[in-house]
Amino acid sequence: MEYYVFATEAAAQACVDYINGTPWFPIVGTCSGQPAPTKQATTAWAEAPTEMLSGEWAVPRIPESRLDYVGVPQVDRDAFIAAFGQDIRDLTDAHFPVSEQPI
Amino acid sequence: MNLTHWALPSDHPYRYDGSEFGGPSLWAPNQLTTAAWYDASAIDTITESGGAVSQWDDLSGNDYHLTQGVGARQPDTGTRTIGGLNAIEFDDSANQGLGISSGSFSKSQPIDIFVVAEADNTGQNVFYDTNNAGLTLNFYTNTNFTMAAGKFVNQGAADTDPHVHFHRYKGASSLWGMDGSSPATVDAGTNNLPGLVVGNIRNYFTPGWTLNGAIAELVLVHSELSEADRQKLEGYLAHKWGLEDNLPGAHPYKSAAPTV
Repeated sequence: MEYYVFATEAAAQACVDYINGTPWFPIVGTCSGQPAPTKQATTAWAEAPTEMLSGEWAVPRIPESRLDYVGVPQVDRDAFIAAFGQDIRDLTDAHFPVSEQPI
Repeated sequence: MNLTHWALPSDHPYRYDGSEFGGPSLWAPNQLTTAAWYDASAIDTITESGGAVSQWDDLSGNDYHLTQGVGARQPDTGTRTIGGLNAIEFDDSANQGLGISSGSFSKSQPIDIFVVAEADNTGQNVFYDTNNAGLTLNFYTNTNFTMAAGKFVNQGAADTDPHVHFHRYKGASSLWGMDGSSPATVDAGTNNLPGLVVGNIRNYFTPGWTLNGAIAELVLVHSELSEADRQKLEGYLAHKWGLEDNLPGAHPYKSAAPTV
C-alpha cells in the first residue's frame, strides 16, 4: 500500500486532519449496488499516523479508485498532492515495528 | 464460477443453491443454530464503497455485523476469489480488519469456529481474535498454524493455500481439525471470546498482528456440534469453496456436498 511519508508526527497528523476534515466523509456505502444508509459508513480516512522503523511517520494514501468513487475533482487531487504528497512510498509491514502476539 | 448463486439476495426463497433441479437442496449452516456467520460470496451482505468494505453482515440472524469505519483500514471486496467465489482481501501494511465490540458480542466456551481462509505468507497473520486486549482467543500463522485461548497450540507448518479450518475451544478438551481431518484433542486454554475481529487486530488493541490474505467464510457456533453436524459443515465449506479435494477419502462428504 502506498503512504504519504513525513519527517515529523506533527506534519503527518496535519495531513490526517486535512483529509478527515474534507467534506468527503462520511461516505455511505452501497450494498448490492444500492445505497445502504443504515449500515456502517466510512467516517474517516485514517485515525492517526504510524511511526515507521526509520523514525518517519506514515499516512495511508487514498487510492485513486476511492477518489474516483467519492468524486474528488482532479484539481483537488493535484492541490492535495502539492501540499502533502511530496514523499509517496509503497510500504509493507516490514517498514513498521513488529508487534508481539498477546496471549 | 457460480454466478447464479449471487444473483438473488441471500435470504431470497428462490435463490439457486447449486443443487440439481428436482433434487434435494444443498445443506447450509442455516440448518444449525449459529451464533455468527459471515459469507463473502453473499455479496448482498457486504457494504462497500469503491470496493472498500465498511460492513460485513452476520447471516445468523443475530445481527453481529462486523464493521470498520476507517477507510484506510477497510479490507477489499471484488478483488480476490477462492474457488471462484468472492473472498474478503486484507492488506497487512494498512492494518485492515473488521470487528464487533465486546459490548455487543461476547461468547463463553465451548465455541466451535469454522473458517475458510488463506494467508499470503507464512509469517505473522491473524485470521480471527477477540476484540479485547486483555483476553485473546485467536487463530493465526507464524511459521505454524496456531490456535490459542490462553495456551498456544501449534497445528503444523503454515502454508499459503486456502483451507477449511475447524477449532473447538473447550479448555483441555479443545479440538483442532483442518480440511475435514479427524480432529485432534488439544489444550487451547480457557479464554472466552469478548468481541470478534477478523483480519488485523492492531486496529483494535496494541500490540497485535495483521493479515495479508483473504477470508472467505466464518461460521461460529456457541455450542459443541455433533460429529455429524461438524462433518456437514466441513463438507458444505469444502465443496462450496472448491476445496473438496483436500477432504480425506473417508470423509462422508468427500464425493458430494451434504443435502437436506
